[in-house]
Amino acid sequence: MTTATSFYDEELSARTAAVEQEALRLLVDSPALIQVGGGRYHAVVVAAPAGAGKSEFVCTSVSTVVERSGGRPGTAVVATPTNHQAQDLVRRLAARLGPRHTVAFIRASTAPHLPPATLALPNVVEAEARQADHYSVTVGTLAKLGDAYGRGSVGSGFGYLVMDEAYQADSAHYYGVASLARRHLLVGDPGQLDPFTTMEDGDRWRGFAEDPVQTAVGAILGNHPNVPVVRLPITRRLPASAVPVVAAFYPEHRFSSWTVPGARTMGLRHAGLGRGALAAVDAAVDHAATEGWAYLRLPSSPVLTADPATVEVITSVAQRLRDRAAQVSSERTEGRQVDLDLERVAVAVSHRDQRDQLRASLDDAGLQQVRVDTANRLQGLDFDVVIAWHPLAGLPAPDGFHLDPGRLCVQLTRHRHACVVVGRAGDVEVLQSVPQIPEAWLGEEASPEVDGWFAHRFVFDRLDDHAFDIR
Amino acid sequence: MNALEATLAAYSARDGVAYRLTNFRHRHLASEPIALSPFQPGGEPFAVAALAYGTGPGPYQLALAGQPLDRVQLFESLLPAARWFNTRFEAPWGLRQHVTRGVRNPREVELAPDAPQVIVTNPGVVKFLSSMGRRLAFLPTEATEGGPPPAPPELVRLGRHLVFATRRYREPGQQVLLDMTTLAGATWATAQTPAERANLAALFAWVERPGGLDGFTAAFLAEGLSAGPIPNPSAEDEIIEMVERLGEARKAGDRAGESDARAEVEAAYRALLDPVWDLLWRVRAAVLEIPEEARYMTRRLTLDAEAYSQHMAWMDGPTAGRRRTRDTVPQAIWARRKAEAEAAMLEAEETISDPLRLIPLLLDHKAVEGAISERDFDRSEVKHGNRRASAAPRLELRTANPSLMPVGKELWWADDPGRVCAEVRAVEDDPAGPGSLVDLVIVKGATLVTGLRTAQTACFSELTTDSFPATYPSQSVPFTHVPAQPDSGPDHIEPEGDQAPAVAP
Repeated sequence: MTTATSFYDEELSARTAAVEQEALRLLVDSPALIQVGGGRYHAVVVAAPAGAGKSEFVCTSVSTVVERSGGRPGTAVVATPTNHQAQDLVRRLAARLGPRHTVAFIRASTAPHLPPATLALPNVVEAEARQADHYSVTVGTLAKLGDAYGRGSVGSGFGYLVMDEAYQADSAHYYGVASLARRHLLVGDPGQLDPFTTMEDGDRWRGFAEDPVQTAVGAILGNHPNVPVVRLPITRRLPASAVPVVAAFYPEHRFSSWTVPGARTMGLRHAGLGRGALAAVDAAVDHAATEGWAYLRLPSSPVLTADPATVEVITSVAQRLRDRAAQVSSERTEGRQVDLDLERVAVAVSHRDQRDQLRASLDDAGLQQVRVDTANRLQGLDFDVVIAWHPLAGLPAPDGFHLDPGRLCVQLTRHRHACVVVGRAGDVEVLQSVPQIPEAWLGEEASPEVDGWFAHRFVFDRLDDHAFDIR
Repeated sequence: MNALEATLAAYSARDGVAYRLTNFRHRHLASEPIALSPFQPGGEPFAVAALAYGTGPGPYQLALAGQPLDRVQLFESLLPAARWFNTRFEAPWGLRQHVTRGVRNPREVELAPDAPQVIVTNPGVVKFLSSMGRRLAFLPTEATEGGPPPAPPELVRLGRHLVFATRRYREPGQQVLLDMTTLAGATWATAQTPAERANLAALFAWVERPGGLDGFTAAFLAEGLSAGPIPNPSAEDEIIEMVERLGEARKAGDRAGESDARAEVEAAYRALLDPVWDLLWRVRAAVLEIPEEARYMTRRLTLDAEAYSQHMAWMDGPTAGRRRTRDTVPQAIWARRKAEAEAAMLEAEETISDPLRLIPLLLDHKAVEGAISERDFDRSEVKHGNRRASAAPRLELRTANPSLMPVGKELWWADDPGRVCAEVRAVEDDPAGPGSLVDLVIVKGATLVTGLRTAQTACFSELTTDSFPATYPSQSVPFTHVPAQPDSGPDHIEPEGDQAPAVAP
């Protein structure tokens, strides 16, 4: 039995706190490092691995600058790529700041209102853009705040601009909000999916400073290489078992799990008695419960994206978790075994047609509570158990979309206890030749395709120890 | 690859024939297009060794440089081609008229009735023309001290037209510059890999199948042909030797030898170009037989005419058509916004107007089609944010196959996908058939659906031609987007993209 004091790596906690303090010091007390056209500006980038507690850090930062300013109106404007992220931050900031400071949410006319529970908080309002600077803290999506600035309904007098998910925000959106404040804090996870465009040749500006598709972080570091980058050394979400695998996505970033090995456990109350394909599924679920990973492989075969056989296997993994009464224990349950809540189980896919087929199949199996979504939509969320449909499963030839390391990274970094990856036996073979020579761009050193190639190979190597073949 | 493309490729493999991917042709083909078919010398993409040009099948004119790496020979050979091209490319501008544009700020603009059309074999040729255009567009036309020798103004003009046309090529749905490989690829499914389909001769062999051969054999026999701009290596080796002989004869002042060598080079390039020229026009003729999509073509032809008119007005302006080669930050942001909006619009237009293209959408449950089994046009409800009830007609569709359409989804009526929007209220199994009963309520455009009162069937999809007007990004560039060390030259010189376009899309 794990005792309450030994859930966490205390040394890591202390180290993380010091790093966060340093980032805040750089943001608030450092002299402005950027000089443009007679004006002086400043920015700090904080890079965090998946589940590092980024949003918590955003709340800490905002609360620090609000305390410093004594709650002066217009102290901080907080921007995020999606409406969901913005609304979530409103709730968390309101709780953190307490009743003395009001958090205003600027809603786009096409976006939903704040959830009633958030709106009912005494220090939360939905405000018009024109009144944004009447409140100590204003939150909105990048698109809404950028549009409001472009139309002149918000001015540029805020003390700080704080951006969450800054590696998912693109340069064009950053451009829209950048004039709101002279000091910027950009917080994000570099391992996740880069911003994308639906235009056909979105690569036409690659490597150039004007590239509107590059990340917000890429834009400011490209133009101002002296902007400091602080790296958080922690993942609070991922269990210790996950770190050696997901290290593939953070080649220059060392981090460890907050929880010590054994702090998170998973068990199945009923033995697996499945036969045939189910025997492999049962064995994989048992293995994942103890090791944190399982890699289920169907027979090698090229298939269409929404492959029915894979849908069936993923559904049966979820069914076995339910039917065999999975249980988890962690620091959240103070070490007690509790039943795995099916709402804490997610299936991560790459394509919407995979999601649609799985949704129908899971519903048929009575698994309505299990969330299924594309990697893009699962960014920022966490679950106890994740079933990942491997992006390369049954793919005849690798391409940039499926090799994108960000997609696999999102799929493999949502879980607190275990992740079951489902693919096909031949998948690794598409990576066994040399990578195709991808296009190269002047001024750009990184190649997502080559990085993806190596990240995928690294992950395949690590998952090999957890493989179960369905025959 | 969507389900339809995969199925048709499988049928194609089974039957050895190509299958059509669309009911309609979604690109306009001008009656007398300007056809260009170039070959470049080896790996040098900024010079043209041989250029075939003309406006119809049959004999073409040929610009032949001899030694294309020699600027004098290159420019001499290109000059007649440039004059010919410029005359045709600028012809529609001669028919321009003054029109008033804008509601709030009306202003006079000059508008050509249509844009010229250039056709080529493949995207490689487009890329090559872009490089060539860029080389020519910035040449000085007047002598400067210590500078390069001046170039004929016609060549510079050609270069600037090519820069415009190859930039325009990137816009979704444009028809100023069409390559036949992309057009044929969008028209026919074949049992070929993407790499095989990139070879126009191999792709079109599946369609044409001379002598009734099966597609595999026909493609095998045809695939040796290069449609440019790089010749096959074997042909190239021979040509290099000929060009060397030509160079030696020139150096030695051997007029007869030079003339012989030149004839030899010309014969070699004609042997390369004859089948390519022929293929280009055969593909065009085959695509031309497919009926043109009528519903949305006019809008895109107008966009082309407007872009062309802006280009020609710019050519007539003080900089004579010179353009910056890199976008400013706001220009890039604006170009991206426009391209994304236009791509979505094109996808909607091509899919909704084409029953074959709609099939994958129906299979993916992104569209629903069925017999109207119930309708209530007197219905009204209080819509979100409103106080009073307004018309909200209800329809029930009986589908032939089970529908997985999620409740709450917004779908647009395929007959009027820019204005009429319905919300899915319920999807149930059809007790009287194998499909579903899909309950829809018209939430937008209720006054525009008179056609549905009597229609037997209806189709609704997630695609819409409704678009939200984007705003141009602020001209004052924030510090985040100003390089600490600027790397660009003098201020840019073109107004394009600096303001919202003269004509709203």
